[in-house]
Amino acid sequence: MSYRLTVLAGVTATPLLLSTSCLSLPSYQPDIAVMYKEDDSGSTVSGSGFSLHFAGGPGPRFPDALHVDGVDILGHAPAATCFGESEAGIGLEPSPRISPDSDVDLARSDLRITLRGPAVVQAEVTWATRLSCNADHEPQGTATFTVFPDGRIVRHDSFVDDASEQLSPIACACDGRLAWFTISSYWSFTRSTFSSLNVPNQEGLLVPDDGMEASNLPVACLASGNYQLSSGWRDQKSSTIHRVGDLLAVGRYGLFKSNTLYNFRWASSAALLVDRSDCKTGLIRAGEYAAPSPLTVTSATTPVAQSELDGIYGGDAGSGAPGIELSDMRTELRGPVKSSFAVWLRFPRASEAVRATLTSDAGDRAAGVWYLPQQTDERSWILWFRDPLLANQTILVEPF
Amino acid sequence: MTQRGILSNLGSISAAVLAATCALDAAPAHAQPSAAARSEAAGHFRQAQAYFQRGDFDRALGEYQAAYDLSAEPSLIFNIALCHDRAHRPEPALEAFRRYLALAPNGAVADEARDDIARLTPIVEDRARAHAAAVEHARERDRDEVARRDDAARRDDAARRDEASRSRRAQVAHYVVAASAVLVAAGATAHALAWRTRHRLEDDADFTAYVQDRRTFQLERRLAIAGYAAGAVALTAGLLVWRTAAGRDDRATLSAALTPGGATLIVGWSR
Repeated sequence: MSYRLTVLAGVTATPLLLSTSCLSLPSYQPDIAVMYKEDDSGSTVSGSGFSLHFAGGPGPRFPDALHVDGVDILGHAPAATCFGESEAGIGLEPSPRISPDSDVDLARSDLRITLRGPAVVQAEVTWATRLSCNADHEPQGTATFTVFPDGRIVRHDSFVDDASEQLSPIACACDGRLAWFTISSYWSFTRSTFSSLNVPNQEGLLVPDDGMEASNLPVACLASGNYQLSSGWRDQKSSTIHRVGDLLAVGRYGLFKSNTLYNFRWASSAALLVDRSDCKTGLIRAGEYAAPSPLTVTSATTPVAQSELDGIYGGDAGSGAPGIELSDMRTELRGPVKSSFAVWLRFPRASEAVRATLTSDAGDRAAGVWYLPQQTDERSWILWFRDPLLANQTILVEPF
Repeated sequence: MTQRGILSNLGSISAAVLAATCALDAAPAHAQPSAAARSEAAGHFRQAQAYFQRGDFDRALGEYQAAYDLSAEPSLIFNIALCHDRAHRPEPALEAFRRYLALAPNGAVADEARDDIARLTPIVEDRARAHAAAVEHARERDRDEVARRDDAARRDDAARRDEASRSRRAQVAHYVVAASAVLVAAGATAHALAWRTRHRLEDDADFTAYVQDRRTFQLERRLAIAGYAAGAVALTAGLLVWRTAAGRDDRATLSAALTPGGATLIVGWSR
């Protein structure tokens, strides 16, 4: 009897299983999209002509490679001092840096993907380290990387050390030299990749020499042969681009002038942008992060502002509850916004799909994949728009 | 009948014939029959005697009876009894002997009649019992035969009904299997359409087109799975019905469970 049951169950279930397995629903994979993928060596977020690789393994899960057109432009300095910049990470000078290629003693390390594309991928790196000079100090933090299809990477770091005992940098110096406590959030790049530094109204500047820096820049653009790498800072204070040997470090640095480390909180936000036109465009895009254009969202019941944390209009403002609340299922977006942008909308009711329609006084029509929707919950959608929103244009967003 | 009895009867015959002859010829004063009747009765008597002597007892009995009807002579009843006795009909013989004794208890052959009654009574009783037993046996045999025929009829009727039921079940099984083929074909068609839509989905760059194709794909996929599932259930049910109709005497028991993922089905039967 059991044999009969088994045979019959197999006979009847097989076509169902085949039907189910052969007819999985393919996800939306447009040509312009940002995607997330895990592999043996870590995790990769890839977009149009670039990919950002997050390190795997037990070490810090910060990015260890940024490929543009197939070339890794991230700086790698294995011979750097224990607190010197390499790859991307957090500096705790004179203690070891928090980066994938450091020997830092970690209490915790994790990578969590909170948004998976196609419009936005968001990766959250958490870390905690023990200071060798004092076991009571356990600095810890979170770095949120929000990546868009056109090469905009918004990074937000926050870290904290609640221990109240004041530490001397001498006891904590991993290389034994006298130093000051400096904390930083940085990217490092290969110096030879770039030919010039560009800032508004000053194009074609020389890349800083070894030991030199360009500081307090709200936006900047490093030009290479085929692409440009721009950076924007919502808070430009203490932002620097400086050269360390063969590396260019782009980051924001905080110096503890009291020369002791205790009970601190620190946060830093920046946008990194990959372009393939010129630094003028790159600076405009960086400027849209440093000083976002106002976006009008009709039927919005909550403030419309571009989040410093993720670079999305209506994104997480730090409350952990992103999304512009709408009173209507149809809403209109009006600018002008000078570059590509994303908006996070929260409709009053659930919708299976939303679509956007561009209207213009001049009769302009959008061509190709000019927007990407991404559902985050049954009522919430992130829409990424490829093009700037001109003053005479309106985008209608509605479920369908 | 013993040898002594036969001899005795032969003697009785002679005595009866003699008695009857004397009686018929004597024509008593109180006798009612006319002379012509007596003469006719005597003729019958003689004819009866002749038959009796030849051993033709049935004809002799008829002649004796005719003579008695004309003469009402009791000894003729005795002769009638003898005829029955010789013809091996003990019951009428016994009845006739008793009738003779009732009519002529002191007649010339009354003692002979009593002897014959004594001789025939157990024979008749035995024959009556045997007859009753035979009748009862025949009745029982008849009852058994009726019961057998009823049982056979019932079996035939049950067989006809069973055959009709099997035929109906086989027909139903054919219909169900045919329906399952149609369902599976419909599922396969929807599957093919879904497969084609799936290829289109992979190439959809525009989100609106993707969503519309996704809806089409989901509908086609549901139809495919439903077609396969319903076809599988119908096919299994049809095969089980066919199996029971084929005489295995199984009783089909179906149970099915479709999980939200769409894909578990258990079908079975038990005896």
